[in-house]
Amino acid sequence: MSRQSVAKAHQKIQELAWEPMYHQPVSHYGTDYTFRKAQKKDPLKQVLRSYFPMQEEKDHRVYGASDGAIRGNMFRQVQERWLEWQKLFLSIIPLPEISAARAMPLLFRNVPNPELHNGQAIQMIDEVRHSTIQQNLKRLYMNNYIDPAGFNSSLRNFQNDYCGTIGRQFAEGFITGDAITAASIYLTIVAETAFTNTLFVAMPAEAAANGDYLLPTVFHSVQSDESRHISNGYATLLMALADEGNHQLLERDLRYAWWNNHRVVDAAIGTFIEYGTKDRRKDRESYAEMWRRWIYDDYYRSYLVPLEKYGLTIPHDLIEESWNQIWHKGYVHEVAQFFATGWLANYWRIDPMTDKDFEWFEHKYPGWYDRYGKWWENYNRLSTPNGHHPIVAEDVDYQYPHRCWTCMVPCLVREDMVMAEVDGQWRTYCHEACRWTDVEAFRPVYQGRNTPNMGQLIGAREWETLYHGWNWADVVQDMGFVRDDGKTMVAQPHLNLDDPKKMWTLDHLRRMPNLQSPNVLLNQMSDAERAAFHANYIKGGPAGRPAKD
Amino acid sequence: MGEKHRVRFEPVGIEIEVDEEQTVLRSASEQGLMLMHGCKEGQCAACKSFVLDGDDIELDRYSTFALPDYEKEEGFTLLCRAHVYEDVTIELLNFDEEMIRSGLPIQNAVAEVVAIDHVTHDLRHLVLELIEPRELTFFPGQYVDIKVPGTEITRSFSMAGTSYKKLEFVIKVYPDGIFSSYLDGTLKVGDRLELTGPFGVFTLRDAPDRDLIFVGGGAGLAPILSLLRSMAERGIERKAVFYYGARTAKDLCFVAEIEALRGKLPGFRFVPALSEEPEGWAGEVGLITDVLKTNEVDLSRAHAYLCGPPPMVEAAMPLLAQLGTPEKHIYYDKFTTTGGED
Repeated sequence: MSRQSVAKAHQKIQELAWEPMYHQPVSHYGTDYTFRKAQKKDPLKQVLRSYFPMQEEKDHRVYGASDGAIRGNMFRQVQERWLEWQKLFLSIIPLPEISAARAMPLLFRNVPNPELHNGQAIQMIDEVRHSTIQQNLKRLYMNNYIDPAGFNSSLRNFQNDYCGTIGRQFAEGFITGDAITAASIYLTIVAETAFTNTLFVAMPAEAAANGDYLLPTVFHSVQSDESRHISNGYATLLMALADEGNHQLLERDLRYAWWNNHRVVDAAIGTFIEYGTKDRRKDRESYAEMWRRWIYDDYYRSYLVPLEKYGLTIPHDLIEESWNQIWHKGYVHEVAQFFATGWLANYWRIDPMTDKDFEWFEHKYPGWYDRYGKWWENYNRLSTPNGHHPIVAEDVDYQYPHRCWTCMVPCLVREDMVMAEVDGQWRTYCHEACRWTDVEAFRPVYQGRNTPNMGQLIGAREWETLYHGWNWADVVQDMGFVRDDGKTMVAQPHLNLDDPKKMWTLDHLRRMPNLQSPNVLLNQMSDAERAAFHANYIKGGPAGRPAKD
Repeated sequence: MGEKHRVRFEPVGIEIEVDEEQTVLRSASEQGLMLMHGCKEGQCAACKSFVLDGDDIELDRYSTFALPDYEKEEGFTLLCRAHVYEDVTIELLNFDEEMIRSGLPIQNAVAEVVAIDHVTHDLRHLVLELIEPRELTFFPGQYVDIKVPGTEITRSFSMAGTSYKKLEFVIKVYPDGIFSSYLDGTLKVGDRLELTGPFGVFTLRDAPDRDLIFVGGGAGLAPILSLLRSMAERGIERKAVFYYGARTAKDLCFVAEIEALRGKLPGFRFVPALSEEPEGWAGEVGLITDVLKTNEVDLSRAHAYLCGPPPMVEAAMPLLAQLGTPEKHIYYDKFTTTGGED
């Protein structure tokens, strides 16, 4: 094994999205919110004197678990299906943590309450700690797991991957737009108070069920800091509520933050938990069941609804719609199918579903087989090279989707897709709420009110458009997802590493038609063609099926 | 279900009963208390609290990151995992006093008028029986918004009673007021009204060792009456004085009932006072705040509850502060002072 040079390692640290490759960061964050009235107290009164010993104790436990995992050879006994998905998850999650650390100084200058600044400063330190222990976890996987490829390049992958862009949106949400919108409403009120439950409580439980007891240790250590973050968010929210002029902005931001978190977190975590597990005990909760319990029954009813007493209207319609997406419109299944469709553009291996998986899905989501079963059978059939293309270029009754400009998850629930011409470009959105976010919320004027601090959603946001017209082999090479032999791909649509003949290489990809970005093609259409195309697209689905005329 | 034990929360002074089989967090939530929490799985530590008194607490499975052993030994606990097997006192570390009582669901309800009585020349005693739903749970001292039929206009009124099935109100009628005109003109027994609630934080903070001072005037009587009636029902023995101000004897109502509360509330004193025409009146005379000033010397160990016209509340606040009542223990209902006026 060759050692990596110190200079190279140092170079890698700089890739930690401090200088994003995909857009030009702004130099100043302001807010359109006002804080004229209530000064809220910092309820937790954390001081560094007790903070560092507490965190040191927690870090010791994490190191102890790491040692235990090495001694117990956990990395070779864990379910491969599960650990492969960690290549994606652990490439994403340290970046939101770093973004959250960066979000705290935005609050220092915009929330005029020194009492709260201490809590925010401590949150900033928490977030750096989280990022560090998560990256250390990734390092341990890489050093000890049977197939390190994909763990070793993930900081870079995060920025330009087919799936990673979705995680990028989550990280960007913490530092995009008005400082309060980003650092307070999006990050602490919605992401941390509601969605960390699925991230840091449900994920670890699933990891443990798949033989990985190290990830739960790391993520429980992370989750135990959330109490501070939840109360930071709450104190700022109550301060904002006291100025009635903020209500319009709060209502806008709760709509945006709720919907965007749902789109991004449910897509990613839903897929990891339901398609990354080998544990098909029927008494285990499905993602939909957990979502209903934590997010709907608890967060919505006991945290959001009481805010209405302050005269705030909370987005009941979008909360109901999120549930509708998860339960009736198969949102998580549509996403998992999309991730697997483009397996070749990823940096991990996606295990085909078996009869046992089918049975579990049908039990938890009645009607699943009729929608998705056939496609997963095709995935299995096409998983090893045998004169055919990867599934994305084969006829499996699947229409490749358009990217949503806002959440960067594609427009998978076909009937919900909407289009808009913005700044001279035709954009597609996975749902009206994402169109509203881009076209109405992230604008310098909102409902007649000046909102100069809101900014806009810009940058390279459509993965396919980055590579429009490229040969697939060149795409994969450009992204760097090739193994040490220079031709075997990191990604594979199966878990069999033993037989070289079963491994896909760049040579297989050279024979494929070039990658076409549906979003570029959409902009080349005449107005009439585009209208006809849209009318047809929304008749498609479920499971990506093209409309039947 | 198992045995029940009392759980007292400090420094907010709220007591609830908790079944052994339920976690403290769950039980509090069912009783309308919104305690800070996150995952409810013993992992995020948002509900971490400190046990001041009591030992017999068992925890369901939790993460030792959220509650390390040394913290548990010091007395910290996780409310989302805690079952109590004796009476305990728990100090909340992370709470917002305004929000803690906001846990009761806000409901839209339809109710039928069962009584409209003139209790003075300008105060009406309105009683509504709930039709759909049949009950509306509230904390004594809270209010609901009642819709003026045929309009989108609502007015806020505090409940004067304690029944969840029959809501009682004491409403002042103003000449040309929208709700007043309706109440005195059109509304009759059998009519239906739409209402929404409960709202408000003018609720009794449990603090057995603290005296209570109530100061009320006009329709501000309603929430105080609700608090007093509920204290009588619950057998609360705290020392309490109710300073009830009115202009003339004909402006007083519910006097006999309040007097009679002394039988059920051993520590209770009632001090009605008139500011005008006190002929033939044996009681106190003057503005209610002046009466309070002459009667009390040291209120540093008291909690005060104010409800009435804004000038009364504004005059009483500095006076109570002068008499030593800590500012954070002077409670007043912002809505009743303004929302009652049409």
